[in-house]
Amino acid sequence: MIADLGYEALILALVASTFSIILFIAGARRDSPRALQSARNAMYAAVAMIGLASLALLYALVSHDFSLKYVASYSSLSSPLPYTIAGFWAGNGGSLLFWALALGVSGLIMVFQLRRRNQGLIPWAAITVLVTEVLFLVLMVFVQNPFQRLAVAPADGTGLNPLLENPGMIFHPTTLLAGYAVVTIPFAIIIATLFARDTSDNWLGSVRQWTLVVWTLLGIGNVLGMQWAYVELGWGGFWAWDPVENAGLMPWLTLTAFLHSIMIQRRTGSLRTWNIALIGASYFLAIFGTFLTRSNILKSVHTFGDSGMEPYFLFFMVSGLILFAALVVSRISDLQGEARPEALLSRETGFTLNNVALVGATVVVLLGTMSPLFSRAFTGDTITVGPQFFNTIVGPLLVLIVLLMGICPLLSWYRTAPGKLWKNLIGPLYAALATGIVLVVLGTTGVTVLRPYAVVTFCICAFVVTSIAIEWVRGTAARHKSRGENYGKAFFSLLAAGRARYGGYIVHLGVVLTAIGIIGSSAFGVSREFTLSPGGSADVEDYTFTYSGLTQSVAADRTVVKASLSVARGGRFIGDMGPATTFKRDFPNPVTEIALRSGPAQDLYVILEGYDQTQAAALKVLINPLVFWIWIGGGLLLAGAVLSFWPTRKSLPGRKG
Amino acid sequence: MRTRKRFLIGGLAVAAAFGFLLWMLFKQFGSFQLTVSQFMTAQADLGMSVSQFVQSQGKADGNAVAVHGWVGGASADPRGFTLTDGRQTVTVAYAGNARPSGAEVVVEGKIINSVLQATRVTTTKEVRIEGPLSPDAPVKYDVTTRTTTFSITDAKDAVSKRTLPVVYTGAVPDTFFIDVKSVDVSLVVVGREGPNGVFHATQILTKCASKYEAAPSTKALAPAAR
Repeated sequence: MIADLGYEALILALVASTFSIILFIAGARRDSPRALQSARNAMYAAVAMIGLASLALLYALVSHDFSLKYVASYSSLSSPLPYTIAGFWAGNGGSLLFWALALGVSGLIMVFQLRRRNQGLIPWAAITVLVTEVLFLVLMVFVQNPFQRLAVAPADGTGLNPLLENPGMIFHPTTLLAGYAVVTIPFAIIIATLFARDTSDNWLGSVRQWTLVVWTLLGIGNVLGMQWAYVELGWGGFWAWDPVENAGLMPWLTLTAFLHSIMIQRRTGSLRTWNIALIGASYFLAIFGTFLTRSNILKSVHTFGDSGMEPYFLFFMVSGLILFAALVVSRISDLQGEARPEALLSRETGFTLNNVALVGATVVVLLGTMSPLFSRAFTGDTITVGPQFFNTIVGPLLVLIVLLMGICPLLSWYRTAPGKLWKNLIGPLYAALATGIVLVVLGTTGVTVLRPYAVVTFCICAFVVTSIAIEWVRGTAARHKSRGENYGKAFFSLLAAGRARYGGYIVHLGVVLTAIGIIGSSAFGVSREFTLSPGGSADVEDYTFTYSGLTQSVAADRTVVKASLSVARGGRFIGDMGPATTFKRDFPNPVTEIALRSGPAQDLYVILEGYDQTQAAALKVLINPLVFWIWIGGGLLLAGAVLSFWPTRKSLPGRKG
Repeated sequence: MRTRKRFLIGGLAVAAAFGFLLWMLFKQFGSFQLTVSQFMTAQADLGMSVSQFVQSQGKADGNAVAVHGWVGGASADPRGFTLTDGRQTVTVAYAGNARPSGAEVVVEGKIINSVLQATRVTTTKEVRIEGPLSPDAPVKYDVTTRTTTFSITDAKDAVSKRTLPVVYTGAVPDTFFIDVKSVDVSLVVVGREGPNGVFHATQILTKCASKYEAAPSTKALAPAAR
């Protein structure tokens, strides 16, 4: 019953959205407030219907209504409540619904926001949101209905694949899907300004805020995905350049570029066309990412298998791109910025370089991801590029971006005096040099391995951290001096006064920490594989692993086979580790459950690869240095983004009129 | 206006250089994706096998040949190596850089005084082979060597079905076992052929057909894979 209601709500949402689009177009053309009012009401109704459908699906999941195919496939009686709810976005239809819900709710917030200050932008912004919404509603109504019924309801559902039973399943898909959905909002606002020929830049603030939200969602989504892959998938790494991972990375890169280049637009009024292109690219890359997870065009482990949705997405993306390009070209005369003499040594140049590197990295990732398709189209052979390709090109570009994070804050807008720049550079340069010397000495004396690329990257990281630290110390000292605040208060009021700026620096620190973790684990990681019989032991670096045998434990829906290991470091016992394999009822695949001891210096990561009847166990031990800091970096990224997003008092609505 | 023009030219130059670099790296790191039949045909086109060469050696004296095989090790002559296909072994005289033992190579050269004088030795590139598991060959795991052996075959609707035995060392991705049960699902093995017609996979990529977000099985950034 509830399920039929859900499907009917989806149909009504589709009708209401279409109706709303027509009314918005009519209202905007005839300038009729009444038509616009009805259009808005229709939009509210559409979002309400999507909300109703979402509640229906949630209710079906929680009440275990296995007569629904979707509920029977992605939940079971024995799964704990959080994973039952996570079934919402575990499958194709449900994740489309989640997408539609996130877009609908953010679209409503956008309309309310625009009503206050930029009423003229509402019609076309809403139309853009609704057209995107219609794509997803059409897919749910005609292709992937999450409310499809089974002829015979099973007594129990299959449940989530055990690989998905991880806290990552609750937060990673939701943040990424929401990010993909919400990127529509800044895009929609920009589209509306093009239609309205609004070059006032009044709307830049709200576009920046929405972009920050999307950027944070995608960034956190990606880091959570890395964390999940690291702890759950049992291969010791966190990023495989899988097409779907790349799809999550690309819009994040273009949005990062956008967040920097709109600062130039705010200051100088230039780069308008470029910024529009960046936000457009982010939007279409997000749609493309959603498409990749749902189609069979590229071989990826994340995809859903044949779903019949390819033609819809292709039609939407191609026609959307053509319309978008036509719109931008028709407004090109509005977009000319004021030409002003630019000094080469200025923050604008730094940001331009940052944009070139970020967009370059995006292009490389896109071409690499699409290489099987492109090569098939042009040469007839299918040629695929692997991780080496991406690491070789994208790696250096990302290092360049990190370097720019150290230099740009030292450059002033418009023009920087070389002498002043040099004075500011000396401290960070010394720090980089000192780091380099320490690393080379450690490397040549055999304490660590000497890896030139790691030395260079760590020097750059030291440079960036010092340059940010100097900014903070200088700002705090100035405040202490001018206002007589004590240092602690001066520091926090500095953060509060320059939220966007200092939030940005915190994000930069987070990125540096992440870079340290990635480089550290790839350059200094150690891996050993061995097979042990009960009683046997093996050494890895200064660790000794003693294996005492397998234990098997049987629960209601699963059997766990665990290898018991006792670990000593330098002869001293430090703890037990139990890498395991789980077999969940009804699932053909076992789940490798790694054993992990994580610490700031290094992670000890043990995988049970296999075993036989004699209890001999094949084990793989990884020592992953500094991985810990990737997750800390992700946390800082979130903290910095929240700080820069937090509205300052003067930007709060109402005060400004 | 003049600065703008300069920027434009500079930008185009950078873009062209970038494109060229990309193309070179694409050629360097790109690997062909083939079906089992396509792979077997391509392997046969690389050159004659060592066994074929041994049989035809006498007649071919003075002629240019291309022989496909695996480096067996250094030969008695310090400037050369042995080439094997698992059944027959020949000695190759070669002045260039030594190849690691076990590398799959194509030796081009001439036979002079019954000795294969190599003028060029090319190491083969990694390939990706896509196909379903062969239902005829069982999947076997050996805990001491940590190897998994299985066979992949051409897709169900292929005209001629050929089967390729595969050996893989290390942890098999969890999702591989979904493919084991449902033979229709195809997987990708990445690697090179080894002697005796067995494919040595360095990576297994699986696709989870019905479930969202299954396991990445590539071992890309894992330091372990290096």
